[in-house]
Amino acid sequence: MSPPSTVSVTITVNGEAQRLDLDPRASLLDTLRLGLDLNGTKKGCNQGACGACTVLLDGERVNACLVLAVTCDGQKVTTVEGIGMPDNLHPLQDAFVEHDGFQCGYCTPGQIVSGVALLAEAASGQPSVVDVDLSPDSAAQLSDEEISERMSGNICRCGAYPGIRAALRQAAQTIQPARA
Amino acid sequence: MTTTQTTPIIGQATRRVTGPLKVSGQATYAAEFSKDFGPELAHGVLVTTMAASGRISSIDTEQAEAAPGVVKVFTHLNAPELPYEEPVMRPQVQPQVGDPLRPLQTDQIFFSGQTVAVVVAETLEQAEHAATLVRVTVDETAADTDLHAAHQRPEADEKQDTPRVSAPKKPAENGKMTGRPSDVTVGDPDAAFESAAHTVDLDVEIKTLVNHPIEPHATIAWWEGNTLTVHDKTQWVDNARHKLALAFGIRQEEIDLKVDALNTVKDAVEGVLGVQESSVRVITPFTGGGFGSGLRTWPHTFLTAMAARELDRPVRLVLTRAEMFTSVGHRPHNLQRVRLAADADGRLQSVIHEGWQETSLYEEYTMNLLNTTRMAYATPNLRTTYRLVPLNIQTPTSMRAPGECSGAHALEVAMDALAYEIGMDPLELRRRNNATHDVQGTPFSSKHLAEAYDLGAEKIGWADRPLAPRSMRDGDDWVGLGVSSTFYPANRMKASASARLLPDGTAQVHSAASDMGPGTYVSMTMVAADTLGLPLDKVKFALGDSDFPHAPVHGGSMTMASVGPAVKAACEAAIQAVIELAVDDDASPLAGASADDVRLEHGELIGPGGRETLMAAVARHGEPVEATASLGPNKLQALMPSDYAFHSYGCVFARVRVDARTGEPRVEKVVAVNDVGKVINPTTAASQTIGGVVMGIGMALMEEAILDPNFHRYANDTLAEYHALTNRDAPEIEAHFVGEPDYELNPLGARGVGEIATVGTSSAVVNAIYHATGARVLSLPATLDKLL
Repeated sequence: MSPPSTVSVTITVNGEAQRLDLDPRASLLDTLRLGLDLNGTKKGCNQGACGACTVLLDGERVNACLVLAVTCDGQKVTTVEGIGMPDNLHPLQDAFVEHDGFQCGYCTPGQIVSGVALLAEAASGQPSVVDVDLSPDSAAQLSDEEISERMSGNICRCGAYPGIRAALRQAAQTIQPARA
Repeated sequence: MTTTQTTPIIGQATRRVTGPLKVSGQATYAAEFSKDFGPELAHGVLVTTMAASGRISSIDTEQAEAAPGVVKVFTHLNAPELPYEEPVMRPQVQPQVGDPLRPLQTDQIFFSGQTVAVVVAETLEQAEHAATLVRVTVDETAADTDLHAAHQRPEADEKQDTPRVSAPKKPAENGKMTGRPSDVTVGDPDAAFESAAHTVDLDVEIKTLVNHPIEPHATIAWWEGNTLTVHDKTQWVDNARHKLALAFGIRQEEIDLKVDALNTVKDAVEGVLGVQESSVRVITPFTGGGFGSGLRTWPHTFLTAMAARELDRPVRLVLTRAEMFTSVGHRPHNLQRVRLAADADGRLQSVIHEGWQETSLYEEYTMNLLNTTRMAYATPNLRTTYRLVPLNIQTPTSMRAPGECSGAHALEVAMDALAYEIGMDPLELRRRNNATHDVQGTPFSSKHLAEAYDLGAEKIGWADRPLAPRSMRDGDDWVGLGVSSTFYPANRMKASASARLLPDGTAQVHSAASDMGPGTYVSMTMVAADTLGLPLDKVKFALGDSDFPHAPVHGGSMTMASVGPAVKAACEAAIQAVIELAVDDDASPLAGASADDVRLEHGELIGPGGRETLMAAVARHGEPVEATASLGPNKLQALMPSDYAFHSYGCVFARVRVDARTGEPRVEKVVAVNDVGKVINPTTAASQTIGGVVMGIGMALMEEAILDPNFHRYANDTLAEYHALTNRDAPEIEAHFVGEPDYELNPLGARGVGEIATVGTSSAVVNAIYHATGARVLSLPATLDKLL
C-alpha cells in the first residue's frame, strides 16, 4: 500500500480561514485538537456516541469525530472557542456556570455547542420525537422534556443533567437564537 | 487599603472558580498539553489481545514497522526490562496481594483486552493504522470468566495451584490492613435466623460496571536527562509520581520518603536528604471525571513513559473507549446472598450476608462489599463472609463507592423484602432498626439519619403511599415509591498545603490534590478565603502538581475532610507568621504587642493597641509570607483506633413509572437526603449528590458490561451499547442535607459527599419498581425483560 498523500483544504474555523494539508484519514475532531490546537472540542468516545466533540458545521451540530476533515473543504466550523471565551462568555455558557450544569467539565463544551444549536433548531421549528403533533409551536416552547430529548446526544457522566436543563431553560428565555 | 471579607464564605452557595474555563473549553486536560510540543510529539497507540488466556507464541511487527510514519513498535520481545520496584508500603488503592500488570514485561495473557504492543508514530493516524498491522498469535489455554460456576467451587487450599474461590489473603492475616475481613461473626446468627418470626433469603447479582469518565485516560510523557515529567489523567498525582519512580528505579529514596512520611512537609524532606529537585513530576490540573478509575497508575502510563525514554522524545497516548473497558479497572461482577430475620415487631434478630466477587488472576482486588452491613442496622446477631473468585479479567478497581454500592444495594433490597414479609412500611422498618453504634459497639460520631428519613418522606410524599405493591396506576403506567437508606464511611488521611500571602493583597494556596469534578478548586478557595478573611477573588488555589505539598488520594470522599483542614491550617500558619512580623514592626499599629494577644477577624489583625488588615501588614513587609502545614492521620481514619465510628448517613426516595404494556421502567423523581457533616459549598455538594443519583439510576436500570462467555470479552464495549444515563433518562432530583458539623472527624466538620448518594439510589429504584409492579428484581440492571 502506498503511503497516503495529503490533501489540501480550506476550512473556516471560528471565522478564520485555515489552509490545511490533511491526512485523508484525519477526523475533523483530531484536526481541530492536534492540527489547530483547539482543544475545546473534546474526544470522549471517537464513535459518535457521547457528543463531547459536538461542533457546528455550516451551522448544524455534528459529532466532529464522525466527520473526515477533508470533506469540510470550503465549510465553516464553529467550536466552543468561537462561541465564547472566559472573558466574554456566551449567555448559555454563563447559564451553565450559574446553574452548575457540569462537574468535571470535559463534556461541557459539547453540551454548550449542542445547546446553542438546539436553541436555533427549536426557534426554526424543527421537531423532536417529543412533539407528537410535530408542530413548530410545540418545538419552540422548549419544555424540560423537549430540552432533555434534544440534549440526549451529549452524555454527562458526572450527571449534571438537571443543571444543564436549567441552563438551557434560562438561555432559551434570555437570548434570541441566531444561526451560527 | 486592602480588601477584606466581612461575611462568611464557607457554607454559602458559590459558583465554581473553574467555571469560565470549563464552559469555554479552556481547562487543559492531560492529553491537551499536546499544544506545548509541536511536531516533536510522537503518538502511541496500543495493540490489545483478543485471547483471554495463554502465552504469546509470536508477534509479527514487520508490516507495522514498515508503515509510513512509524517510529517504533514495542512488544515484550524488545521492550526494555524495567525495575518496577516494590513500594515500602502499598497505598490502599493498590491490591495488597499479587503483582500489578507490568506491560510488555511478559508473554503471559491474563485477560482479553490486555496490551501486547504499543505502536509509536509521527501522527495519530499513522499510529492507528500501523496498530492494525501488528499480528499477534497466542498459544491459548482455557479461560474462565464464569462467576456463577466458579463461585460454587470448593475453597482454595495451599496445595491447589489452579484458581479457586478464596478468602482475601491479606485481610485474613490482618483485617486491619484493609478493613475488609473475610469473616466476621457476632452472636449466633444461624440459630437466631432459624427461630425468628420473619425471615427473607435473597440471592442478588450485580454485573460488571465500568467507570467511564467522559475524558478517556491519557498520558503525555517526556524526559530531560533522568528527569521524567508526565501529564496523566489521574486522581492522585503523588501516587503516579511514586509509581513511575519505582517503575523506572529513579531516585526512589526521597520520593518514598514523601509518601512514607505521608507529607512531612516538602521542605523538611528536602532538608533531610539535601535534594533540590524531584526526578519525576506529574502535572494534571484538570481531571475529566474518573469515579475511581484514576486512583491507580495503569499500564499505559508506564508504557508511554517507557516509549518516551527509549525514543528520547515526548510521547502522547490516549486510550480508546473500547480500551477503557479493559485498561483502567471496573466495578467487579459480584454475587451476594442476604438472609435477614426479624421479630414480630420488625426488630432485626439476625443478619447473614455473604459475597463472592470476581478479581483477576494476578491481583487480589478487595472492596468494602460487606462493611455497610456491619454498621447499617442494629442487630444482636450477624455474620459476613467475603470471598474472592479469580477469573480471566483485568483487576477490578474502585468505582464510586466501591463495595458499599454493591453490598448496600443487596442489604437494602433485602430490607424492603423483609418489610413486605412482615407487612410493615419499609421506611418504618428502617426507623425501627436505626443504630447508634456499629456491630463492634463503637458509637457513631454524629448521626442524623432519623431527620433525613423525616425530610425525605415529606418531600416525596411517602405518607400517601399505599403499602401494597401494584396498587398505584396512572394511565398506562404502574407507579411505585421506594426507599433506601444510604451509608458511606467518613474518611480522612494526612494532607499538606502551603499558603503564600503576597504584597499585592492576594494569596496563593497549593496542595497536590485533584479535582475530577466535585469542585476541589472552589471549595479549597472558599476555605482559604474564609480563613484569611479575603474575598474569593483574592485567593488562587492550585492543585494537581506533584511538586506541591502532598495530598492523599482524591477518592473515598475524603478530599474535603483531608485537604480542607490542611488548607485551613496552612492559612492559619501564614497568619501567625504575619502577626509575628507585625508585632516586631514599629510601623505597625500592633507593634510591641505579644503575638498571643493578636487575633484575625474578618481579615483584620486586632491587637491591644490597634488594628490593621492582614494584607496591609504583608504589603508593608514587602515580601511574600509563606507557611506550610500538614495534618491528619497517617493511615485511613477508618483503620485508626478511635472512640468513634465515622460515617455519613442518608436516604434516597425514588418514584418510578413502569409501562404496563412494555415493562419499560423510568424514574420520575428522586429525593436524596444526606447527613454529611458540614457542607462547605451547597452548590457543588448538591451537584455531587445529583451526580451520584444519576449514576445510581444507571446502575439500577441500564448499566452492564456484558461478558461474552465464549470469547471472554465485553460484547458491548462502546458508549452506544454500554448504556449510561442520558439527559432524557435523568429525572427531577432533589438534594437535601441534614445534620451538623462533625468536629470529631476534622476541624472543618466536613465528611465528604461524593459517594454516599450513589450508594442508596439503585436499591431505592428497584424497591420502587417492586412497589409499582410486584416484581422483585434481584439481578441488576432492572431491564424491561425482567418486568414483563
